[in-house]
Amino acid sequence: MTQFREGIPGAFVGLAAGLIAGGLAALVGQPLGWALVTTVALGLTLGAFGGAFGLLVAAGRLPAGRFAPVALYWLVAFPLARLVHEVTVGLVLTGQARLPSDLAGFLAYQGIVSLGWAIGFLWLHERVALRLRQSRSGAAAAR
Amino acid sequence: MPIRKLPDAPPSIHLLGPTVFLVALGVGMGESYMWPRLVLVFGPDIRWLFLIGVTLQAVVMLEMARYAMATGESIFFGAARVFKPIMWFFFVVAVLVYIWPGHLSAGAAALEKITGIPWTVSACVGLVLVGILFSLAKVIYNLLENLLSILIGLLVVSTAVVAAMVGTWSDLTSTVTGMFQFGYFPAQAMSPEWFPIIVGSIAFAGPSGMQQMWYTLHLRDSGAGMGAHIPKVRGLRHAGDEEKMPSRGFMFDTEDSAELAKWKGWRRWVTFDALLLFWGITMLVTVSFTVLAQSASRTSPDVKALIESGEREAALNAMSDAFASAGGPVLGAVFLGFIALIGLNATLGLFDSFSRGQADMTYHFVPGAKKFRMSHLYAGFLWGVITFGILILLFGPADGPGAILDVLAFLSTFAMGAYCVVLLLVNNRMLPKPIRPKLITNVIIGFGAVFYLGMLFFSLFKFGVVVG
Repeated sequence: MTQFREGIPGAFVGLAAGLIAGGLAALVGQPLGWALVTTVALGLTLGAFGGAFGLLVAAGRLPAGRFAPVALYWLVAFPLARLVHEVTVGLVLTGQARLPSDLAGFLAYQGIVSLGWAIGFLWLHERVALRLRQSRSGAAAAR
Repeated sequence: MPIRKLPDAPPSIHLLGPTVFLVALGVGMGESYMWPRLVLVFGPDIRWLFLIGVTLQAVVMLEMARYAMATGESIFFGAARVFKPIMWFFFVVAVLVYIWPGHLSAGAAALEKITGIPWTVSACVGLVLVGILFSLAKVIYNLLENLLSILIGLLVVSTAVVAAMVGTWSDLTSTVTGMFQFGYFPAQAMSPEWFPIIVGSIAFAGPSGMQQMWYTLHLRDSGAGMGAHIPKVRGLRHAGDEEKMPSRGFMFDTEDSAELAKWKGWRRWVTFDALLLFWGITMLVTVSFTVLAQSASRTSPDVKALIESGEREAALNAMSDAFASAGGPVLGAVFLGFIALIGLNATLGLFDSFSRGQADMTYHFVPGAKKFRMSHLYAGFLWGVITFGILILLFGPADGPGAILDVLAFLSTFAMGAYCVVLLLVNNRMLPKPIRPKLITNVIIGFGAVFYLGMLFFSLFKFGVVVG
């Protein structure tokens, strides 16, 4: 259970990204279904990968304290999350599960964008993790 | 300077640091508007100049940090140690350039487009809220670092997600490869119309004007290096808790190998900040916005004309509309949301930085100012600039009187050349030999001085126009 807590900050950042995309879609009058699909498809996959990142670091499978492992992790995970998003949106809107027409170009582009995502993810992840540690140590001290 | 112990450096991955202020101030109109505009006019190959501008700023950041972390003093204090009038020059430039609330207009106008609230209303309310927020804070630095970290984090994450959904492989490759077309300079760029704009865009690549100098104050308040021995600036409500501010900085024992090892740790930490956070995020945002602008200009040819014409607000709105037609209304609103967020970050950072810098110079160098606490002086400058800002927003020209706009643009760029000269002097004359910069670093900073001042004066004498 304690170890699962380590996945919370990453899951939170991923879900937040999906919520922002979906929430803005709803705010500007996109159909609720479109907004929900974006929130779920993008938020859940990014959240799942973000949570898994925290668990891997806690288990010692990914080294903590360096940027390169984070960038490499998202180099694989981010394009996959976007692929899930694209396919799911297509499936819900048109009823057909189709891969992007230029799959290699799509994945390569997402791979490069993942570097920027990795910086933002790490930045927010550290901030949220610090908050959680502080509130936990505060609660422990109160006990 | 008195000798004290250098604290241990944090690990390199420690992302929570004062770079967030530099990113908040530096990622602005240059990244989201000026460079995308140049790319649409001259093509992606013009971006090699951006690469040089931002890389130069990353080295400047490292050298600013060298002095501040080694002494706990701001670069203004360092300038006064070299020659006091230089410091007063920066004091006057800060008042002349940064007192005008024009920087609020783009963000507030974008907010008006999304919410319908008139921009002067949101700008005035925003100003008062910023004043109250900073006055109530126990330690202003901590509050702002927390706030800006979340805002910048959201900006970076959202920019990446939107760029992932809108851009294409070819937009990205042309934008990135354009950064390495060294020497590309079309004949049209060498005209009175465009050359000053290009000079301004290079100067505005990353932090511009005095923003790098203020970074030394944030480094100090974050407790980086010898800054750990300097008390933090508090909000007005908690000013009574502030410890006595020392009249000068401190130095560590550079003959002690253990202390030098800690110093190397601090240099690694700040280098990580400069390269990954500052350089990386600035690049990410500009590349993303350029990709977005290219995508928008394909969708709507009107956007290209509007962006080229230099009507900033019209161009930003047209870009937003183009995104809306390309990827649904969500993208139009997201784009304007980014502009509002960038404006909010810059405003928060700018008001704090201006007040911090002026308070620091006043406290140390105005006779009798030490009767007050630093927090009181900070609050005085903060509320002064807020009151002036509201009056100007309601009754005057937001960017400053038209007659002196050129002078302000000149001073802002001149200050950048001047701080390169100051950096060379303080780091090579004031610091002990073991921690002075290497020759290559001095050459780069010297190049910076020649680059900023040379282009400024060339533009002035050749075309009779200062930076655009």
